[in-house]
Amino acid sequence: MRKRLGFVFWLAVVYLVVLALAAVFADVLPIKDPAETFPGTSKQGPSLSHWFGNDGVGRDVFSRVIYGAQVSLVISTVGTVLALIIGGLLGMVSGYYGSRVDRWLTATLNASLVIPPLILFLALVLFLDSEAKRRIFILVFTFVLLSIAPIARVVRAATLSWAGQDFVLAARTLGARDGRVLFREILPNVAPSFVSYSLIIMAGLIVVEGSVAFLGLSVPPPTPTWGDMINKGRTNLDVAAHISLMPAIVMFVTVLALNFVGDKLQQYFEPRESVL
Amino acid sequence: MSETAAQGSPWAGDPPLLEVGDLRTTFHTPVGPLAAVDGVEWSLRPGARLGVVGESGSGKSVMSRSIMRLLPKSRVTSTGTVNFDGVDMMSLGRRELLEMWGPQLSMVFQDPLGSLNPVMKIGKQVGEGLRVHRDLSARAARSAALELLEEVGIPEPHRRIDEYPHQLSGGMRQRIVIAIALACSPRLLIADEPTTALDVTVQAQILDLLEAERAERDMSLVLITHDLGIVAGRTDEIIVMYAGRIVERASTRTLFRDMKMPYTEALFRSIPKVTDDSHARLEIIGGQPPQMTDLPSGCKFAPRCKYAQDLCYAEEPALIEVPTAVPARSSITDSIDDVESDPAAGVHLYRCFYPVGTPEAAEAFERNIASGRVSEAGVVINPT
Amino acid sequence: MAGSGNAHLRPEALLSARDLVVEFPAAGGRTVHAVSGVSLDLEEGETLGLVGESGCGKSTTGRAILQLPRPTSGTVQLDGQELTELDEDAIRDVRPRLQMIYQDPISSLNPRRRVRDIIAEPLFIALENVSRRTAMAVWQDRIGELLQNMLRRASGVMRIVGLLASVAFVLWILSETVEERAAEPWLGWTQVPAAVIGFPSLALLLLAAAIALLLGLTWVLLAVMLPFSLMSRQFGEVSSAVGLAGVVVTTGASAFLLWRTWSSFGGWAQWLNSGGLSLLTAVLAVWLVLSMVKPERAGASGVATTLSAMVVLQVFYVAGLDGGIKLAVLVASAVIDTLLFRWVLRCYRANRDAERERAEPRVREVLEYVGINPDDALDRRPWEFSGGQAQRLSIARALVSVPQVIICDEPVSSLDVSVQAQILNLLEDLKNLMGLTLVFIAHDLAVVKNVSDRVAVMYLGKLCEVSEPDAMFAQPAHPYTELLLAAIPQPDPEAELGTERIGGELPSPMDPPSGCRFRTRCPLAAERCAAEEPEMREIAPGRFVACHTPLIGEPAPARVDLATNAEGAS
Repeated sequence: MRKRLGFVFWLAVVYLVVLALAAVFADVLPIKDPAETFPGTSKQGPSLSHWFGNDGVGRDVFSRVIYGAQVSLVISTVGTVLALIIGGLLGMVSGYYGSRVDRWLTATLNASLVIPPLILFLALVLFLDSEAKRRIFILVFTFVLLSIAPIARVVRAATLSWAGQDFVLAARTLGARDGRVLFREILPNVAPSFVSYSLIIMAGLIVVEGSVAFLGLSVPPPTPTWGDMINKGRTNLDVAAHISLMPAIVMFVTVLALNFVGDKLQQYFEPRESVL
Repeated sequence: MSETAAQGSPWAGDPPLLEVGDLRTTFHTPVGPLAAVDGVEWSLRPGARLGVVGESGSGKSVMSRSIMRLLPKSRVTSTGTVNFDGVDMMSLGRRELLEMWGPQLSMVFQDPLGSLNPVMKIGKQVGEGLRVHRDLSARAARSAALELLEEVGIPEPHRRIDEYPHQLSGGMRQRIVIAIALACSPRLLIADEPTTALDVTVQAQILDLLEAERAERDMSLVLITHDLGIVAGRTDEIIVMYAGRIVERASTRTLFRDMKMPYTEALFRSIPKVTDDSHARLEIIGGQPPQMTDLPSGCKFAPRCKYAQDLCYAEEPALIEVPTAVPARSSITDSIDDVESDPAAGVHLYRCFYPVGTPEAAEAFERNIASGRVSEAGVVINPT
Repeated sequence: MAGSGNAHLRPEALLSARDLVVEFPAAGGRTVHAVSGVSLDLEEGETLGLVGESGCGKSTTGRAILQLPRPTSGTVQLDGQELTELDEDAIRDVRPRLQMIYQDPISSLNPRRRVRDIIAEPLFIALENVSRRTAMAVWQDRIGELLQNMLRRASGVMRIVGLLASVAFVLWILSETVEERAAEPWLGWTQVPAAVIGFPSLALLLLAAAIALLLGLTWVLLAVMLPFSLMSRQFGEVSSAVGLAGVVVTTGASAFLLWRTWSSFGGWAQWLNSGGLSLLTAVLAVWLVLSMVKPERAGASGVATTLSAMVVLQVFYVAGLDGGIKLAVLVASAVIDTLLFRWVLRCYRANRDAERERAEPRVREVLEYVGINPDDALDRRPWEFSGGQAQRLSIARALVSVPQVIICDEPVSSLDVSVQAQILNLLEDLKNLMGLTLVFIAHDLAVVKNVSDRVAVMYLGKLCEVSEPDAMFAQPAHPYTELLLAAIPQPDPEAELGTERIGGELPSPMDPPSGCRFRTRCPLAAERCAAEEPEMREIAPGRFVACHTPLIGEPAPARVDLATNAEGAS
């Protein structure tokens, strides 16, 4: 009885892969320069030469969306991967060792949940990066800091339930060290749940970048970001909705695809099929 | 198979409480249809005790859920008739079923923790059914729940009523589950492996409790288990199931005295008995229960059967009736009542060409040993 | 009744546990007295049945013998070796001799691993633990093994070319001087991702380099202090020399890199721009080599992560280049990386397969012992098996390390009766075949009687009765044993249903009754039972009981002058 991932899943994966490849190779792809202004094309709708139309100053929206994906993808992947490594480790250690280690870690993580994300971000921007030179570090740093606790909690819960299973005890009676038990026995069981969860976090980070851009605090121009593009297009919403709409659609589809892939993977990795 | 089983209504005067006719439940799996229950027929008199015995996967739990109409809606079809005191269960809608569950039929499951709501106080869970079916006020339901807890032997019910399931031991939890099932005084209680998760001592207590409650309420009881030892002293009639079919059905005494089906015999012999010496070799049933999606063509038990001959592989035996030896009333120290509560004493159905205890079976066994199919100890050497 | 004492212990025992006490802290500063002074012993080839209700501490006793967790007090001797005094490392070496089989066969097998790995795991663990203990030797072996592997594996010219090319690539990057790059403005937006990766990974990498440096220095110091001849006698001259050389080189490289990093440090921006990326790549390369030294230890994922990080850095380099050459370098480095990836993966797989191959004959042998066809089973996962088969796998795993004692913790309680018989027969066969010594924990007396040579009945953390099974079952001496016997379901409708039942609940182990622990539920309890704890004593040859008024034999001689309830004895 083989489980199937389904057509939509592969569609989502292909979309994400194409988007990522386009972003990585944007420099060498035959697309327009995102900074170039094409005279007389301001606020023009989609056309054959400019697929997604042009923005308020006549730049090509399509190429800006592709370049904008660089920032979105880097922020979300780097943020998620780091949060995953740190949060996952903390969660596993906390769930496996229990007792005092668990109490301290849980308390610390819960405390970190109390910090209002926006205020933390603003404070970091103000103190470390008032000239917007390292904005992307600050963004990633904040995102990582904020995603650690939720990831750690999910992983801790999963670890707790797996660590109680007899096969963990069995490994210990065989003389296995804690490291081996954690990485060989528990991690393969916990990993699917947090890998799929991380895709959902990733989607969340893309959206957060969008909201931060709305405050004008994302990566500064001339680097295009999706959030920034949506924000800038706001003023022309009545005459040229596509300026905001196109990046918004791409962002929406990306977030949807990530969520969908995450969900499907989680179902797929469920090791035991329901038996009658 | 069904045409013969239909004769199994030897008592004329007393109409049966539950009649199951040609019940078939099929799961539609990706690898094809899986007939978990395949043409089962039986009936139960009010106040009678029926034991259903079989290994895991024999379809006994699916059968009970089909009768209760507790199966999921998608990818399962269930056909046949289930007649509960004149009500056709199979035709009932969701609402009508809700009215049946509780006051008419009720069920106790194997895992007491899984069948209790972990975040609801015990008192509330016990009183819930009463509030729904009897329109009791919260206060009245609580006092009724208290009585029930006391009845099922929960010590300090006043304290326990406000506790949560995880605060109780396994045996106590099963008592709570029984209290919930009994709350609306059902006329039929189906207990699906009620003691499998429990210690031997607690098992005895729970079985005693079920029996006491049954006798007091004149309720019918269906006791589903994999252990012949459990049903031996506590049922009037036993159905043995294998691969979704009834393979033997007889009154409890007849069954144990004169089992005809080789599968029943094998199940019986594999039980370790206190009366045996220590290190006594247990007789085992070789091999595994059959793959339900890929059943052998003839007798489903043939590959594991020590008597099986070519005929058994070629053709599936029908469920046939033997006129049993008259129940030896004298040998038991019981009263007339006791015999009367043994309604199916005259019926003994089995599904085998070489029934245990006949010369044909002995001969078949000899042949199998000679051909090397079966070891001297009676175990099939290479069950496929 | 449930009491203490060691009268039943024998001098010549393979495993002997004395006065085991296990206590757990509970909420509110209370203590759970799970096991309170239990003494057991097993002679070689004997099966000891341990019976009692759930919550009586029988499983805890089994685990305390395994030192998981360690008992609060008491001693456990296996073959004359005292286990409670061993440190964690020594205990790990003993554990393969003391194995365990669990109640739930499915949950005792990791659902994500294949049968071949599950059964071979004890062998792998033993290997790892042995090699850990001689960590120095391993360091050396790793480097030697890497070189050997490289030579053996690098059969194609392509692979050598690939390796040389990547080395050249790293050198090329290193050759970019600080001045050259310092002239450019920092962080064009194409370099932003580089910085993002670099910022956090830099800290990690520097840490790794520092650790490598420290380890290397220690090793060099040790090598200087120990005579070289001593090492070479142990590890062979060539591998010692190669190992030493490798470590010296690695140490030197890490020292150099740290120094470069430090000296060019001047704010993140300047650092990253002025060759910091070059350094990062170089450190990654070192890290990569280190993890390749024993890829199966680092794990495929570890190596792959390192490589990926390197690839990402390469991409950023490429991004910083001028348009024309960009595409060419990109393609070239992609090819090189692919080759590297494949090579590392092959090394990893080769190592893993070699390990598996070495283990396979043993795994097959053991699977056949337990009646499972290895050809069918090796590549399947545990949940594809039925409960009975999974329990056979669990037994196979316990057997693979050739244990002296196996503790079976309710191994048949969750199985169907028919399967239960198969497992019981199998255990009996294996015991005869391999001379195993078993502790068989169960709540079902009929099962225990079938397998045991000696039966111990436990109640609430204490022993009640220890005896031969046949004698015990014919005539139980302890009132608790009698009640347990009455509860067994008889597969005979004409047998009397035992009507005597143990009333009430097991008392809380947080607050056990005084004197005899069973007195609160005992039909024969008298005043003496509350005041005085019964001692284990011999009431008939080979029969020991802890009860003031046993059902057979004489009542215990009174220590305190109290009325004994003698009429209860029969």
